Amino acid sequence: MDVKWTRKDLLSIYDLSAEEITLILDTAAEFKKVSQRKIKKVPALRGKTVVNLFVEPSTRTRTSFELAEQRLSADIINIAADSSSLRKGETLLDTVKNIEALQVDLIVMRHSAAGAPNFLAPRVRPGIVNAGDGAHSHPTQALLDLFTIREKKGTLKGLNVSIIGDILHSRVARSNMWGLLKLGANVTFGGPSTLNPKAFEKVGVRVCHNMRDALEGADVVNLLRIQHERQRSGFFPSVGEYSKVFGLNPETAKYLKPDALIMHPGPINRGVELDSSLADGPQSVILEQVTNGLAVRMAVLFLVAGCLK
Amino acid sequence: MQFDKPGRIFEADAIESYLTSIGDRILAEFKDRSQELLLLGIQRRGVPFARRLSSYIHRQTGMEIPVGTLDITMYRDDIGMRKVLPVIHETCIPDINGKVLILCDDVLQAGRTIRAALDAITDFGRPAIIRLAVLFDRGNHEFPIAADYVGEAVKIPDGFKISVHWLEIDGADFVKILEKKIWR
Repeated sequence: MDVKWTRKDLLSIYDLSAEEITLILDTAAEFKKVSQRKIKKVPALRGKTVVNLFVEPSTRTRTSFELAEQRLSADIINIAADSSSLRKGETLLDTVKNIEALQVDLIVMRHSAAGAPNFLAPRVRPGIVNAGDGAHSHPTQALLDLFTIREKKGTLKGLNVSIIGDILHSRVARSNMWGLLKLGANVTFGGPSTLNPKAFEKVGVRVCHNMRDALEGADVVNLLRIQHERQRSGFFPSVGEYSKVFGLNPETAKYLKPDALIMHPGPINRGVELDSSLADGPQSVILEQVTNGLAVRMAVLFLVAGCLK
Repeated sequence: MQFDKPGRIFEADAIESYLTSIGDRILAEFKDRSQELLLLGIQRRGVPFARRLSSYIHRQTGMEIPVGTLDITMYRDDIGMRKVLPVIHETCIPDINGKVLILCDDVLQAGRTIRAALDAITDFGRPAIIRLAVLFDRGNHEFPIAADYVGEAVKIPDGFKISVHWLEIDGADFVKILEKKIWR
């Protein structure tokens, strides 16, 4: 009752207090139940229009947002970069001003440029929900990860969470880091030194460059997708070598606590960052993350829609 | 009963006597269908009311009447019009198909909460009968909705509201009249 949600935008986890994050997670727990009913729809956003503006392509995040909007009874429009006027040289602000002129209430935006949603939010009337901007932030991914961990472990306080992979280019790692630190978890980043900068130690993250150090005693491990083009840019010698040194497989998984959760934001490169036997094993919560993503996005849309002027 | 100014109007004993009278009337009307009875408390202050009705019926008859909880926030008609967004509380509803559902709330004020609750219930199933039980009915409803069981009809001036405090939520049982906050 004490925490009040007053934001029309969700731009990054960094902006939120621990109480606001907890409010989103609590709200999501109730929205999760909506998807388990026979009638999977509530009228909370009836009469509201949401535009999904995906300037950078995405399938899973867009599908999850779209379904969340439909289950809240919003009217929705999808705009993808390749079919929009952005291709014809229109500026992002002009595109969004045009959307605003159609009396839209919320814009869910994915953009390759870090800070794009922060640039737009103060300049337009509709609420902006960040669905990923460059290597900056992916707040709903972090929230769904926090939700999944909290649901399984009861709390985040004092848990050891290791995030392994290409930290340097990852908005998922950054968003998770802020959320986990705010809720009292201990965060470790693991990965090759070229992709896992020591700079994160300044905000209280443990940075490790070998798997044993990174995984020892972990309650949760979150594997990031390794993109093949990083090899071509020289960040690591080969995918095979990456997999040998930084992949999670039955051997390296022995360093984890026996009841540790195995997470992945998807899509998985099976056999590269994560061995198939573990991806499909009893510790894996990867598909539950997908289920929870829907609930968290419903909660976020509901909360920001309640603060529109 | 009529009250003209803010202040405490009822204490625990009065609440208890209104509650038992409602319990007796429900039992009398549905004595042949008690197996189908289900009490559904509207979050938040309808929930202690439903729980206490159930335990009163248990003390009287030994029957266990199941209690569900319903949060109507997702069904409100004023999202975006309120200054403060309500916090969503737990909805936990057993199978309601074919049941005699007694919807319980502490106060019938405008009737808008009940309108939202009926929408929500329809999404969960198809009860045989829905009745509305409220401890207090303040009259002057904004919707064409009336309660089937009323503890006490209370007349208060416009701009005031009845606020029921429960031991389970607020630390003590009592009822008071407050000046309504103006949101808009």
